[in-house]
Amino acid sequence: MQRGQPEQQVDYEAWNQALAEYFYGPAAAHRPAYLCVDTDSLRKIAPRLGVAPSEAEESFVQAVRSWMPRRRPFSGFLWAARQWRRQVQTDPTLPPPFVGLLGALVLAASRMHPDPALQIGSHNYYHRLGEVLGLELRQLPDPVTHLWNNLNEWLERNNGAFGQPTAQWHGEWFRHIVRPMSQCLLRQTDREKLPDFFRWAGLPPHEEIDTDSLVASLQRWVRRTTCRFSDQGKAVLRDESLVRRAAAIAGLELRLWDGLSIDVHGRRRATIDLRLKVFDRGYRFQCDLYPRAPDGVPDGPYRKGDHVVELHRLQGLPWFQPLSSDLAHRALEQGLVLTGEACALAFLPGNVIPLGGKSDLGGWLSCDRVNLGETYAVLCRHEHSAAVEEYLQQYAKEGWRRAPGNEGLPPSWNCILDVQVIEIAQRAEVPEALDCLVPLVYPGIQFRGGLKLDTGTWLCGGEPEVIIATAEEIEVTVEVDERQVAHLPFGSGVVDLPGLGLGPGEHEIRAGIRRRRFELRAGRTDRVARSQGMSLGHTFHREGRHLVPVSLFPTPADQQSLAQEGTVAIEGARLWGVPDEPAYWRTSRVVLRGGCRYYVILGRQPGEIAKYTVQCEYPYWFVRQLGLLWGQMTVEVPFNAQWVIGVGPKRRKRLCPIGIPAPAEGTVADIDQLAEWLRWARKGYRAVGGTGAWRDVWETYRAVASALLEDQR
Amino acid sequence: MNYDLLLQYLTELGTGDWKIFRDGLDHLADLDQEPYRSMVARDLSLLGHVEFTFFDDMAWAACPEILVALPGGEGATAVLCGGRSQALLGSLTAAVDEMGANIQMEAQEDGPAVVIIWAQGQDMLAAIAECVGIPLALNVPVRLASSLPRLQHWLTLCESGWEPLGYMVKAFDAEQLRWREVERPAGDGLYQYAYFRPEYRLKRDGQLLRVPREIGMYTWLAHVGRNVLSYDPVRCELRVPKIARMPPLHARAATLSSGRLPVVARPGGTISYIYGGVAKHVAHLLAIALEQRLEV
Repeated sequence: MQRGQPEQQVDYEAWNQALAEYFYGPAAAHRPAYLCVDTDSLRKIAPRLGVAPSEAEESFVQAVRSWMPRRRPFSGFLWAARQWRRQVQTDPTLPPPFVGLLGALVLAASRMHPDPALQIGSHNYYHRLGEVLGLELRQLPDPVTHLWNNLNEWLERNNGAFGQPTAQWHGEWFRHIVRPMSQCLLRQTDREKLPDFFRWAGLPPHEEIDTDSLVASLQRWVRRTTCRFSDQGKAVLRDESLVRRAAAIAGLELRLWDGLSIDVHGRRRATIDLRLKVFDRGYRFQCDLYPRAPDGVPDGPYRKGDHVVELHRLQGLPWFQPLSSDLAHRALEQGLVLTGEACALAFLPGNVIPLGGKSDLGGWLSCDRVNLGETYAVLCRHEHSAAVEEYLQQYAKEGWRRAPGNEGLPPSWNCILDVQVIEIAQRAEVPEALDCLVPLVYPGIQFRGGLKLDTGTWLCGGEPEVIIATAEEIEVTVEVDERQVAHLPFGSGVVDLPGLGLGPGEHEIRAGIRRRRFELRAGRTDRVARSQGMSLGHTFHREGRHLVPVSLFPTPADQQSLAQEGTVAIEGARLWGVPDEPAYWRTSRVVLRGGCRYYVILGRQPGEIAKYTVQCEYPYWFVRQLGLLWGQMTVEVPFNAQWVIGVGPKRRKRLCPIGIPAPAEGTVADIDQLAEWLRWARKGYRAVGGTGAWRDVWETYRAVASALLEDQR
Repeated sequence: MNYDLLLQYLTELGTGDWKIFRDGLDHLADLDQEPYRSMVARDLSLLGHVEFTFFDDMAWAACPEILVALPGGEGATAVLCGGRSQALLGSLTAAVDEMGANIQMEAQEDGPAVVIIWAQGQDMLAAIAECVGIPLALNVPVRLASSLPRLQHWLTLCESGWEPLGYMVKAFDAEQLRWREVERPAGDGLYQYAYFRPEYRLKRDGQLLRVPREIGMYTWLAHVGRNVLSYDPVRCELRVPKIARMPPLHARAATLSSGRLPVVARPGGTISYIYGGVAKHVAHLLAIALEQRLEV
């Protein structure tokens, strides 16, 4: 290859520093960091060093070569690496001096394409490396390859502040080649589109999945229009020998994926979910939009054109508050993108939308793809209805139905309910619009649902379903504890463990060459199963005679704080601080308003009575004429007073409740005062204080008094 | 649905978040009948088996095991409340047999079976409880009903609420006891907004409070002087219109009078919850706590 000499030679240290800043800078923090040195990235970095982009590659190559003497060409890098290993002990942030060298190894890997004229195959790495380094090499020395380990250790030591290591190798062969290739196999622009693949495949964030399981899905995805990879990226996915390495990268990205994707403007983008509520067995619907609120997507204003929406998180849920209902209809027709300062939220339009039922929002929530055997509602445009119904007839369980109405849906949409896909389309050419209705299963034995107690342990009677899938689509016999329980002609299907009547203990399920163990537990052996963990209780504080709640809902508390003195707590049927005979009911202060000659105070139990006569040295008629009876006095009675009967002029009696009176009780409190209590409690008084709302309560006193009098007779 | 297995599962776990409860419930639910999750949670709470909180993150905790003595009747009767493990049921059955009492599992349609113990006297019940290692609680309904704070105290905990506009709004018609769709909230009243879950706002005296449904409803009923609770002294039944269901603790006091969930019936044309075995004074205490006048 003929290259022109760069105008100005930049030294290796400058290139090393620039590469470190570019690939391991703040943007890479806590994300997978790839040292993807290729022509594109060098062109982007070159201006920082005052080098023209057209000369970037040559300048970089010259800088690396300048550190390589003819004899022992890597000695300079290895010596610098030794020095750095000592220095990094005191300053862990110091970038490695061999980033440039490793970058050159990656640059060689990025040039691996076949050259028929020179009879160079696409797998010939060392020829391309020789071109870059100006050397003839048959193999890299081990200490050079070991520098990748040093790089990974440095990244890990900084806890991901400069990115997370990605140059990994777990095999025995090609250890010198695999790691440079892993850095440039998928370019950054392609890696940023991997979330599209995860969504398409219905993979949840942070999922750990076997690399081999992703290969078939990637090969299938590359044929879909949702795959927006570059031509080079697509070529990698189509190449049988490279797709496994791409799947390894995808697996690593999936483990670190936070559920966000990157849009064309480089903004992080979360999804907006559609929630559907079905009323009247499918005659009426309600659509709402709920933007997802993962970490890193802030609250605040988001824009759609001139329209600004203020979004706030829902308490305890990973969603923002719903958008107004009219937006949902527009979004179904045209899609919706809300843009914030650094993030965006998007509802992408589709022709067929599956909605799953397991969400904290209630109703049905849109998802990217159906799972095998789970129940869904499906929204689809009219023009796709026939295709969807035809597909469901073939692959879904009987019982799905087209909703009888579509009130509340946009006019061009309808809904299909109770959809349960139970078979996987066998390599059939399903129209792309219906792709979301084809479940993707990953080879292996997976447990789903059940009453799970611990990892690999379920409650007896709450056994999970088992999903079995093979990549080869060959027939498989399923055995549980060496007993044949199912035969799957295409190697994939669901096995119903609950129907097998398995007892407590360890069990093993085997499908072909795969096997998994699980345990069923009957329950704990201790009689009182509840641990000393968190309790939830309603707590009330005492304020005078009243109890005041601490919170609207039960709050977490330990047993000691529930049993605290001065509070009342309720935990299930257990009451703390409420004795059978609460002492605080036993005395009360009563304010007697003036105007009466004497007062009778009644408690709720027979025998609870007290009388107070207005003490005065003058005759009653005289005092009343002078108006001296007005005013008030406070008395204390040895029971919880409920009523005051005031006896006024001409022995007129007036009944007044004290606060909210409690109904009478039948238990006699004081036998000596019983007759007196009965005398006053059996009467009907015309003037009941307040609005008369408590007349019914008074009637309970009369009833108790009558019953006791009857008993006495 | 197998509510007994659900209760056993929750007891085994002891405590957890809403997702665990939801997944467990979904697993046990009949395929053709989707469970109304919040109602199952409420029923388990009314029976004193599990407490649910919506305080911060939605969470639940199995309640301590306890024998609750039921009022009235000959001899002494108690129901088992709180968490329920197989081991506990086994030892309870053994203790009951040993003491010469009786135990019965009475199935319920919408909740776990009621475990009822009949003994010759309260002493025998106490001995059974001691043998199993759980407490025996007396007079729970009346103690619980008499401990309930007044509505005004609950309201002090309700925050001033913003109005979730742009969603379907319904106003509570206290006279007709129904929700009426309105264009927009106008004047004082209780309003329901079709937010992600229904949200309730009480507008009163120029204040807008974000209230739990039941607290808001009874506050408004008291405000307009509408009484909805009725009591049948012959059958010892407390009747509460379904639309005006009582707050959870009030309803628990009524439920624990019999240890059984209320029956839904239509006496007089109104769909109502009918709580059986409720003593008159408990009904009165509940009415007082809800600022209602009890129709007898």
